[in-house]
Amino acid sequence: MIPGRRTRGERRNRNMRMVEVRKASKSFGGLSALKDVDLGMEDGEIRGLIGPNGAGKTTLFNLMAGNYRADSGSFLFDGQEMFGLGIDERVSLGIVRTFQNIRLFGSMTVLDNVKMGFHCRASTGWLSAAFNLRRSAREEAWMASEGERLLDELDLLPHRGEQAKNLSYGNQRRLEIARALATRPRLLMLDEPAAGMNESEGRQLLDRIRAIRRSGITILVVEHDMNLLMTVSDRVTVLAHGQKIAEGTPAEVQTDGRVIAEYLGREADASGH
Amino acid sequence: MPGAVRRNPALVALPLAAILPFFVDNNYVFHILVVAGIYMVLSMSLNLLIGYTGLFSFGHAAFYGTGAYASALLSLGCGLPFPAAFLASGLLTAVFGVTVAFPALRLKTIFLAIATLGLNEIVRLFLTNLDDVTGGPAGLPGIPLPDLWLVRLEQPQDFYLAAIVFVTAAYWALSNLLLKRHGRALKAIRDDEIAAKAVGVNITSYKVAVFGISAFFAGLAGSFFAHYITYISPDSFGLSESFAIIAMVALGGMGDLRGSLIGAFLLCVIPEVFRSLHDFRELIYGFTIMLIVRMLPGGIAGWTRNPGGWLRRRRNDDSRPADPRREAES
Ligand SMILES: Nc1ncnc2c1ncn2[C@@H]1O[C@H](COP(=O)(O)OP(=O)(O)OP(=O)(O)O)[C@@H](O)[C@H]1O
Ligand SMILES: [Mg+2]
Repeated sequence: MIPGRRTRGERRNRNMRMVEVRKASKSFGGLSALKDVDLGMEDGEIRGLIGPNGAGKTTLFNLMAGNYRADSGSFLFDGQEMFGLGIDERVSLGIVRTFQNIRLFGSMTVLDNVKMGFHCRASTGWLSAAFNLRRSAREEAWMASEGERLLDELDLLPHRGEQAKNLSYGNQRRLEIARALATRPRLLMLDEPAAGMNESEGRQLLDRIRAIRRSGITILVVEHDMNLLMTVSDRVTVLAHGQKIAEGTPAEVQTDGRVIAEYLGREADASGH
Repeated sequence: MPGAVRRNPALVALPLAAILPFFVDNNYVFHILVVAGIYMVLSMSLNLLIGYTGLFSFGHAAFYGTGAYASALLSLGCGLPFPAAFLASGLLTAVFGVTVAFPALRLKTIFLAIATLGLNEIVRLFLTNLDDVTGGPAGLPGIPLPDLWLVRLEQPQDFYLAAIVFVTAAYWALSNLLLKRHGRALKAIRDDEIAAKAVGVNITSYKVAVFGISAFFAGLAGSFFAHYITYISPDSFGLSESFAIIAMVALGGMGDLRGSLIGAFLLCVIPEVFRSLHDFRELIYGFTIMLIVRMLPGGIAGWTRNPGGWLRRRRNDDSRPADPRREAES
């Protein structure tokens, strides 16, 4: 099933939320990783996504970013259907994600990694790259200066010439965010951005995420660090066993009976099946 | 432009080679150097696939041969003048490369290597058995020498100068492509295809384009070869030819154009300088590949960037913090 695409003209509907996932489902063989999940996000929101291991959080990212094809459901982004579009098309419409297990271009320099983020916004074709030197040089200069600005923002500027694979874990995570920001996203999806960071790095990340939101970017963040997540999120969505079990402000979610049962009764639940 | 030259010493060194005829007057030397020039273009074009994009295309001689036969047939059969046959054979080979790219998109690593080796054999068998068109195993003799409007290339020395122009132009165009946005995208695909997709790189179109461009230059090299040697046969485009080109790329350095120039030069000249080695050329190529892969994976170019690093490399290789989980195949 490929849902119909809407054209740009139709999609400005003021009542519509920016992100509108409806009844998204995905199964792997017999395992249903995501069942009829809805997710609605307002423009400019920071949404936390939590759930025990294997709840389907990364799977939801993979569906929204386009890494996996959804079995059914729809994903309207500004009213435009995304399921059925390629990853590159979604990136150019402003949807970008980072990876739970860090995916950088290891042999390339830190600056070149960020330049890759500009890739989708650059326009020199093969021929003009080979022959129109003035134009491609201008584009390169633009990427370099913008890239350094982004690296500076994420405190990575001193590392700009290093190979990405040699960075520390925390720096690699931040580089992935810098690269994602370079695509100039409207929706940034962060999959466990604080994993492997120490406490002070985590706190800095918190400020960083807020700063990103202030620049007008909507954020969906998966995080196992509850403290961090509850502090940064406007609203929190809870997944368990591929289904949404709760949604609300951090305070609401923390007192929700099902959420508490899910987190406390996980072992009992798993053996009870 | 001056900036480009400063960043790119090869663009000075290559044209400087044109003064050699003032000092040397030996057809044999020029012959070796012309052949080296052809291999330089072949190595650079293969490096696009293997080194830059990580596409293990092991049958490069298929493209080389396609260009050579296309050019020979266009000038013998259709009477096309050399410049037209030269360009047309490049374009035809590019079309062939793009056609090959589509099935190749589904294959990776060793599987792509085996498929492209097979392709090489298929092309060679076609050339051998399509007697009516290709002259069969006996090949195509009497390919006309190039007529370039004002000058006619006849002596090895003429071809030497033409080869300099050819190599320099190919190097210039390819380095423009690869030093910037597109070269980065290719390396990104090589490093992590999923991450490259995630930042909006269209993997399919890049792989198709890089096969096309690589085949284009290999086709031009084939045409140059055909009109220089004036006689071609399927034997010139077999697997051992492909391995020779791979050895040059590996020796020079994967993902480094200048390295390919050096690798091609060394592997063409060394067996000639030590005449006794001449009969062992294929053995040399095989050993070069093995030694480089084992001891100096960055090739000469990688070694110049980090001399002595080859001793430490093994330990550093696994320094990347690893998360055992892998996800998001698509
Ligand atoms: N490519 C795949 N093939 C098969 N099963 C998969 C695949 N990806 C995910 N799954 C399964 O789907 C379920 C949901 O996985 P997912 O990665 O979305 O969980 P998660 O909420 O991100 O968990 P974690 O907190 O551990 O990252 C798990 O049971 C997982 O094993
Ligand atoms: Mg996950």
